[in-house]
Amino acid sequence: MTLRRLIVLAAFGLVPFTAAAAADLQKQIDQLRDELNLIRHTYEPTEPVEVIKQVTEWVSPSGELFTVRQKNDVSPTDGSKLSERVTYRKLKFSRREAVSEKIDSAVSSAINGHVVVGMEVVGVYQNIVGAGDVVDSSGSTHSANRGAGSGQLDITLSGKPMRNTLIFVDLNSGAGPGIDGLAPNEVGLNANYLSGSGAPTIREAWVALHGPKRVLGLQLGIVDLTSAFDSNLVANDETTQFLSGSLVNSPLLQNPANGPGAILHLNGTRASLRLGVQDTLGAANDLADNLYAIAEAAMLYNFFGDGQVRVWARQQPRGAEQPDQALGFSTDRRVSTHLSTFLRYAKSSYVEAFDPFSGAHYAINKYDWAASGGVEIGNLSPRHSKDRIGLAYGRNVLQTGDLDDFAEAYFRTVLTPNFSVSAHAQGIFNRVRSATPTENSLFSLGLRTQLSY
Amino acid sequence: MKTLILMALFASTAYGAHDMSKMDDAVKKAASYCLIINRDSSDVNLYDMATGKSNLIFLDKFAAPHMGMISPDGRTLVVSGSSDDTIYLIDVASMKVTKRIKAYGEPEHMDITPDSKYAFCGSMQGGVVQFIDLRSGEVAKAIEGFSEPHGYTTLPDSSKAYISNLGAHEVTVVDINRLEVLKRISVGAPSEPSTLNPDQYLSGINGIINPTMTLDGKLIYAADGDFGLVAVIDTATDKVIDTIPVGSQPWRGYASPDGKYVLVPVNGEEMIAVIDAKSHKLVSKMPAGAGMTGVNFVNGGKKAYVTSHDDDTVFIYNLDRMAPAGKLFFGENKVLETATTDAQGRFVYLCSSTDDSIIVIDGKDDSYRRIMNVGNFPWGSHIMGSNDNYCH
Repeated sequence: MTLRRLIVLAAFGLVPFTAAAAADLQKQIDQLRDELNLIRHTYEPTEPVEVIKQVTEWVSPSGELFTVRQKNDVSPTDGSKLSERVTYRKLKFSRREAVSEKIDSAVSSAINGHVVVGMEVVGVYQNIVGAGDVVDSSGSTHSANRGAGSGQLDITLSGKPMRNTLIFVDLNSGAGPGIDGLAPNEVGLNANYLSGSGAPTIREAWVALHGPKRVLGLQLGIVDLTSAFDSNLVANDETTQFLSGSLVNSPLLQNPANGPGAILHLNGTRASLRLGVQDTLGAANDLADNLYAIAEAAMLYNFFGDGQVRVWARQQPRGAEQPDQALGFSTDRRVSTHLSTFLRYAKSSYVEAFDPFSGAHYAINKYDWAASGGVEIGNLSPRHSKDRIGLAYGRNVLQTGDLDDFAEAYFRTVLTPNFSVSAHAQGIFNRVRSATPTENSLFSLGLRTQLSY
Repeated sequence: MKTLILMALFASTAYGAHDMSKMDDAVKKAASYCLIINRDSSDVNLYDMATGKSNLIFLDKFAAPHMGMISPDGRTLVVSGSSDDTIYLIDVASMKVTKRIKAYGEPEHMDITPDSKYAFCGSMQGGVVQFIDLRSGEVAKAIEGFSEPHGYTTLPDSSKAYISNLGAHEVTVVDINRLEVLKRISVGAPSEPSTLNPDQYLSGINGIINPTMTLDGKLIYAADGDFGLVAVIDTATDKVIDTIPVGSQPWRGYASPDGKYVLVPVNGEEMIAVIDAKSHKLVSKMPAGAGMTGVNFVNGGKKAYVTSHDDDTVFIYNLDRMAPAGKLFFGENKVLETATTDAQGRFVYLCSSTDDSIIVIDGKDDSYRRIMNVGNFPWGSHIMGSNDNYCH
């Protein structure tokens, strides 16, 4: 008989409410009170917890999904073959969370709110194949069948110290001169960034401010002008796209190594304008006399796919000498989901010097013009949607009339979202030289790994 | 017995006729409202678009309503209270709460079958979708086993519901007649990159926000945030017939009212992807803003407004020329949530949460006006008969 029923029956006089019954009732009340106190002292509120768990599933080619294995690994719906896979699923439930777990979570979120740390490691190995380039006095080609490696480590810090403000620092260290050290060339089989070596340096350190409408922006500090100018969707990143320096940026850009500078951004709906200046000599010199200056106008267009065209003009100071100018464009076009193309061209002015002793006239700026173009093929299958194939061809012509034709093909596969490997085949040929009529062609095979998170 | 049958027939016919006339009036009245969901004041506002009058219906303290829909028969307003774990049924005519249904933790999004028979609302926390019989106001069935059920679409004939899972990479198909899971459809490749890098996926899963149906009801477009692709599902066979890579962190698809395009905000790249709805081809990617939460079409689908939550800006696109056509900036910290286009496809009602207002944009000339004090923190809106009813 329950306590409630006992009380009700007693109230109606249906059971004798004796002293024994009262004692029994008191005993039950005491027992309940004890249990309530126990609950009060031991109770901890449960909290919703989110857990991501690894699960095994079986999937048909058309996407039908089963969480348990089907007979003979065949779909009972349409008889198609099922593939087993391991994936992840978010599950939510309530549980008691330890105080230490809560503190860890709070500390973690507090850190995330201030500075974001990133890391990128790139390693490259390239090997000259075939005869190599120049024959030396002993009759042997010093670069034949020789290989070289290089690696770069970048640690990046970024954060938003105040509204409409971004701060960014890139600490870089590299090792190995790369293949260009073995077989010097004008094309750059190994782009500048990848062939640097030496002590850790601050590669970039800048503050970017933008207006509330994000139309106007200003970037100040140690800047990398190539990140803002002559950019390209297909050929602009030596860590994920083409390795050759001339396929990362136009060689006529002739931008100084990263240093103090500023970039002004003006962003419209379809068009944008950028102005950049950078010191070329160093702090001990008058900044205003040695400024590298560049301007770029970019326009987006949508006609049989999407494209962007950028036209830039730059002036490079030469101290007391006449500065030289160059004009170029960089355009890319996404023809379809699978195919994108690019084209680059730049032309430089001719700055002449005169040697009174020999009476010779010669150009003091190196390049006359450079052009390159190519394609990127991607999204080959849903399973490998981030894999890319790149093909490009280009020509660099110097003021002396020397020229190099070059080409590169690569295949990059993304093994995990943070790790990719790419194989590269590069060639420099038609190497016309005014001093020595021709140089041997250079062919290289390379392998690049990239890890970033 | 014969008399009984005749009486029953007479009764049902009379009731039916009476019901029909009431239904017409109810639909007309319900269609005149723009429903505004006010998260912080725990109320909903049946804002009369013609008179400009606010009709606030209070739910319960700390209900934090997330989404609301009016049934196509114009009778019942269904609202999810994500904080108090309750699904509210409200009589539109009297504007009174008629039923409170306990949910399974964080009820958020929902859909109502076109025949107004069922409303189904999913609990993000519990992974349960409740099918509510709108005539009886009772839960007809609660189906378990979802992983953050987030988006809902019903076929025009009310035969099947498509439910996307945000915490997994799948779309679940439910047979509405039997109220049973018919099929589970995986988007993406049979072998996922997640098998190679568990660390990334153990920190978060961004699956499918919403299954978006084309106007003819033949295809479902399901964008997967982690895989950067949009899967195309044939609703006749419930098979994935195509996958379209669109870029990093696609949000969800929005079908244009002319049936030509499906627009997908690609938040990882701050671009808007335009997919040809019939050929399933990506026809354009245009620059857009950060944290996009919605797309609204006007002028019969020739113009699209894309709401950027993080930039406090609406980006405008001319879909005839397939080109950006400007932007509307509403001021710093005027955080934009989601919007609804009216049934005529001209005016867009956009929720601006931090200043408790609705911005009404005229699709004809992009002019806009602000309706202030519609409630605290307007989070979403809904208009009966609109092509663009959605939540986030």
